[in-house]
Amino acid sequence: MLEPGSDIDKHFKDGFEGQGDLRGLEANWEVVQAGLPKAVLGSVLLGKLIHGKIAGVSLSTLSVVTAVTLTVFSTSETPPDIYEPLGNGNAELSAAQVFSDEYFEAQAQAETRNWLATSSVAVSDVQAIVLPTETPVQATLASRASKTPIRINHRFRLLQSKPFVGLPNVYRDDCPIMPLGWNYSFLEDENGFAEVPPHVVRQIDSAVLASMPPAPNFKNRLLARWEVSFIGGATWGKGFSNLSTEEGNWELSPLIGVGLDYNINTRLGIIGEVHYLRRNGNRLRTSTTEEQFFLRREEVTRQVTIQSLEYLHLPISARYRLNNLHSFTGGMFTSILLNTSSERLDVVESNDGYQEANLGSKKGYMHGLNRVSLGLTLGYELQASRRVAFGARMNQGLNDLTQESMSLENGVNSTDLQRDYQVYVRLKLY
Amino acid sequence: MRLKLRNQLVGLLAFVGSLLYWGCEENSLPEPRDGAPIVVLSAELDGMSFSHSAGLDSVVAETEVVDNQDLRLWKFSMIDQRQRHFGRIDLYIRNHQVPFEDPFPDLQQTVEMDSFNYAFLLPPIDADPFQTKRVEVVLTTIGGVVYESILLPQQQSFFNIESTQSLVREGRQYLLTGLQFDCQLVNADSLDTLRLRSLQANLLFGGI
Repeated sequence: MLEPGSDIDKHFKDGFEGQGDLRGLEANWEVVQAGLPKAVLGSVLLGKLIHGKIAGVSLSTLSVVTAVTLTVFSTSETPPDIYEPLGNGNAELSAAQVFSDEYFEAQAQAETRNWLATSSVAVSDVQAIVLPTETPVQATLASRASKTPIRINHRFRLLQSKPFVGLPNVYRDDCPIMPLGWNYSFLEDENGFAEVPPHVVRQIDSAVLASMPPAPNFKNRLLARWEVSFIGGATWGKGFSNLSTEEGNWELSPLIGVGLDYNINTRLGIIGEVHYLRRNGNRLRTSTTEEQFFLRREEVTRQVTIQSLEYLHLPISARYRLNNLHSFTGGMFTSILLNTSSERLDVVESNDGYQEANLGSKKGYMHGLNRVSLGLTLGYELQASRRVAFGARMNQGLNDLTQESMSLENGVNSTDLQRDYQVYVRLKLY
Repeated sequence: MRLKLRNQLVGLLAFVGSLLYWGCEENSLPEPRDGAPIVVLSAELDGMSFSHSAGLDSVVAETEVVDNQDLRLWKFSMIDQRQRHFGRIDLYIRNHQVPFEDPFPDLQQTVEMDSFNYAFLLPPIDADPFQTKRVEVVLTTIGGVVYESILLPQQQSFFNIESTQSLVREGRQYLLTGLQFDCQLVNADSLDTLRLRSLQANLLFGGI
């Protein structure tokens, strides 16, 4: 902790004296003194601590300029979490340059009755829900009386406790507005300006709040972390066969579903999805044979050849965003067998010969199939635009799709671990 | 946003629900049940007993209805396709009245229990040929020699229907008939005779 009358006061005086306008400053101090509590003023004059706050609003994807307010606070040492405004005023954000969804620079100029402040900030990971803890802010604070700037270049800690956390919950022209605010404190010591830990600002000008988008509450923050998307694509895989004469075919099958993403931070997220997944190209045959007598003996073989398996496919994956475009996913899936499409055939062998009756395509034959299968999934996604992503994924089953009874057709117990490849389009719904 | 999320969650639940509902449809093959022959015939032929079942040992059965002007004959045949035990046995039954237009009631009325008192008897010369139900048995040996019941007076013969049961198979109506009879058969050329005794059978008629 600095002693009264030391560095910052000296710095101010030196700076102003260098410009030869100390009288103006002194005159201004009197004006300031007249309008502020003595304790506050005293702390400024002692130069112990100056808290600055710039509450800025910018955008993530468009250079729309919104109101910026500067409030300069000063405080005494005790209690440390109570700050009173030295003055405040409104200004326009002078520029906001958007370089990509993930990076932009903004400059703000704001003034109070006694102080003029300009600041700039470069924010990366704008698309992220939560701003990074540390964001470089360059600020210049100058007395209006002296017109001599005091430049402060320092890395300030953002105060996460305040509501100016970037959340795209306000839209203008269908583009999300990213409310962005930064609080900073600076303190001069022997080694220069030192960082002050996050603190609580007790008072914010009501006009500032009124001019800003509504601060997101906790629930909205949570909602903003969630993304709902529609998924449509195709699955390519080799079907299974338990026949000695036929193999399963490589076939394309439809994939359709919805996904729910939870962004933990800018890089990591969790994706839960619900898919309708169809696996074609199978030749899984089961049959029963019975002997019937009427006018003659008939051996009736009822045969079901399962060709398509329909699943409720539930992958849950972790997503790692390499950058704005590329991300990788990996996780596990559960597949719940919903239905099958099969070819039904009755074969009647009698004293008169052999007769086939094709009963066509039937659904619902699930005998010999495991109802639940588990596996691993690994994928890649390319973010083509803000809403559309293209992805590819591989699924590797860990348990057999078929039970042992299904393997008896060719007398061999086969291993039916599913492995299929998916390509899909993910359309972000919101 | 909350409303939007709620709508989408409702949509998601509807999607999952419809998939699960769709998945409720389940089908399975019927459990195989091996049956036993239902058409069986056992008897003594000139003191040698035999028993045959349709479907076993290359023996099959056939039914036929023969419409001939005002007569309708219900025919049952048991055939040894490989000619190992016998050639074939044919049984003709004829109603005593002008047949009904609808054949199955006619079959039911023809093959009726306890109504064949004079089945093998030749009618008196002056009698109405349609007053009596008639039965004819024709046995063909492995060598193709034909023996018939109609050419003999059939002393000490009898014919009785003990049970009947309607069956439908592949859309056709049958009458499973339990019967027993004794009769005498003769070859028209050589006048050789055979005695068919204690014949008990479950036979099928119809197939219409």
